[in-house]
Amino acid sequence: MSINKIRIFSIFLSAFVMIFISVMPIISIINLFCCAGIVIGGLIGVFYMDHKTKSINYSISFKDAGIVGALSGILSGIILSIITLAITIITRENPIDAGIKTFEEFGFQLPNEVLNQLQSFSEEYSKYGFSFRIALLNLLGNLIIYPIFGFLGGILAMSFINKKRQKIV
Amino acid sequence: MFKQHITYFIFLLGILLFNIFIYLLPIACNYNDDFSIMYSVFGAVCHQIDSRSFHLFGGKLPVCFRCQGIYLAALISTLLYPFLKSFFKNYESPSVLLLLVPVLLMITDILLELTAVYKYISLVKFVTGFSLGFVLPFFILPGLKNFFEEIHINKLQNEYK
Repeated sequence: MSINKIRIFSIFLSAFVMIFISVMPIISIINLFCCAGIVIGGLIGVFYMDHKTKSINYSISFKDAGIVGALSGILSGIILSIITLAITIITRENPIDAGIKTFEEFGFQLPNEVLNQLQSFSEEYSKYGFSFRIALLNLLGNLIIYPIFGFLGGILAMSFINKKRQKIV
Repeated sequence: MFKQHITYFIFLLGILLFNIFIYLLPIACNYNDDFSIMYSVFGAVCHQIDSRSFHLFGGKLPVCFRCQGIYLAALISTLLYPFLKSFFKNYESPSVLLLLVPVLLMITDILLELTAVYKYISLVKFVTGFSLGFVLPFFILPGLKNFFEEIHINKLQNEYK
């Protein structure tokens, strides 16, 4: 396998792990510990790349690790936003109404400005089955958070690999 | 020549801004409710449960006690990094054990709470988060330095060609 193929496969594997952890019930709790699931995805992708490149005598660098982590973060961020949007459309769920109800049950009084804003989101959900603004915000949030934590995961993995290499030398 | 301290200052600036953002958000929401939408950005990183988060000026911080400990400790240890390590000479990551200890502490805390050995204690969450956040920059900073150094070398090689 050529180095470029290994790179691409590592990015896909890493993105798959990130998405799997983020989507699966119960397992997704991992992400609530400072996006540990995304970091784990980055770690796995880089460890896989290191393992595969040994056979072609290529020594991966911090640059490779950072790029694999960041790109898999971008890829998983986009795919996850699409999955979230698809689930919202399919289930025809209106999370805004459910949120307002929960607030009322707990006795919280939301300010009128916030309530108006939430109502406008809710109307979008009722009309189209999803809210374009919330979907966009979700995509932007994912495109910021996933590449950052993916990159950190890649860099962390490379630090471990480097430490191991130093011990061998 | 690649300047190592630039990487350090970029990371310091990033983590400083992140911390400022965390502490300013509840204050900003007191002035304008529109800022409350920013909580959703942190929602991807943290559960943001009200009873498990620190409150400032009547508003909830956008992260829980544990995450707050991680980010605050990361800022403190980044500030102390040049003094704790011979920073400009030696830029190597420490033993993996240093990272494993706080991770194991955190996992133990989660398991003990799940098995109802003890109930939620905010100080324990903060301390375990703090211990992890404190060691993280010692692994991330050398990695970042190497990453940007390699990119710089590649750029120089391309220019030379």
